[in-house]
Amino acid sequence: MYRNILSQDQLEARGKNAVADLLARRLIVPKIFFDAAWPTRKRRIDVLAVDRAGAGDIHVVEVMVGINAAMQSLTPLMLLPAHYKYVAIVNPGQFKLQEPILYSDDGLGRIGVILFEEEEHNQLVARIEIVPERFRVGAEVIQQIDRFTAKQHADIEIRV
Amino acid sequence: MLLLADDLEAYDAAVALLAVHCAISLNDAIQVGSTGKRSRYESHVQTVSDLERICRSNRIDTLGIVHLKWLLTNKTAISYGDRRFTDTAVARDKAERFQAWAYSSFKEVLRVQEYS
Repeated sequence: MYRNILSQDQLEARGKNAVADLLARRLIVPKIFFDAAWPTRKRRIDVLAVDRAGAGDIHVVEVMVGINAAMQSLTPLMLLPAHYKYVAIVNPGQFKLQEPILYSDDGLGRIGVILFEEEEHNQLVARIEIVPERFRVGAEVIQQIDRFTAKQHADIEIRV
Repeated sequence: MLLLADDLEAYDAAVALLAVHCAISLNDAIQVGSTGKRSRYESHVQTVSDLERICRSNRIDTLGIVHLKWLLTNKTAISYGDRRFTDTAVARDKAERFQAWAYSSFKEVLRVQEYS
């Protein structure tokens, strides 16, 4: 019997595509970047979306394979400057992330959880399991994201 | 608009109508945000000239206005036409392109105020 087994990188990449599709549908003309160098050149974010063609809120998503990897991604994700943060879990198994660990220390902001489903024709669809709550972001971050969107070419955007 | 556009077959008339109205509202928002007042014209088509004037005075390209013009030109057919409007996908596309242009060109005017 033939069984198609994807590598971890392939699973993550597939997840990123599905997440980008989800954000493209939920946000208003967003600019979406894969493997975005945010907030520094050394740090890579799996999917970064800026709402309203770069004028709106910043959404960051880390796509992880397995629940353990997802757990480990929470602390660094918490420190990232963004209005909305999500962890997207491919193959989570039977365990779930406990909701209290998703909140910021001051309670202003909760990391959202995205899960995936295979639909017809093996289409991978991302759906929000736990809705994110907005984090506080300083004015300097807005200036930084303006510079980022001005310099970087978006992977997905509505062209004028 | 996007939510209804998921089922274009069922909601095509509503999607086209929302496409027009979101573009009109965005045009109003740009004018109020830039000048402190709405366009002096009653006619939506005429308000385009005010938007063009704002662009000229701020040295902003007018590329996206063509999409607003298309929506306004088709507004009567979409809202009151005797026949079913068949270019809904185009209307949605025009609205999204106008939004992309507006938010890029008038970023500071249209940015949601940060409460932190």
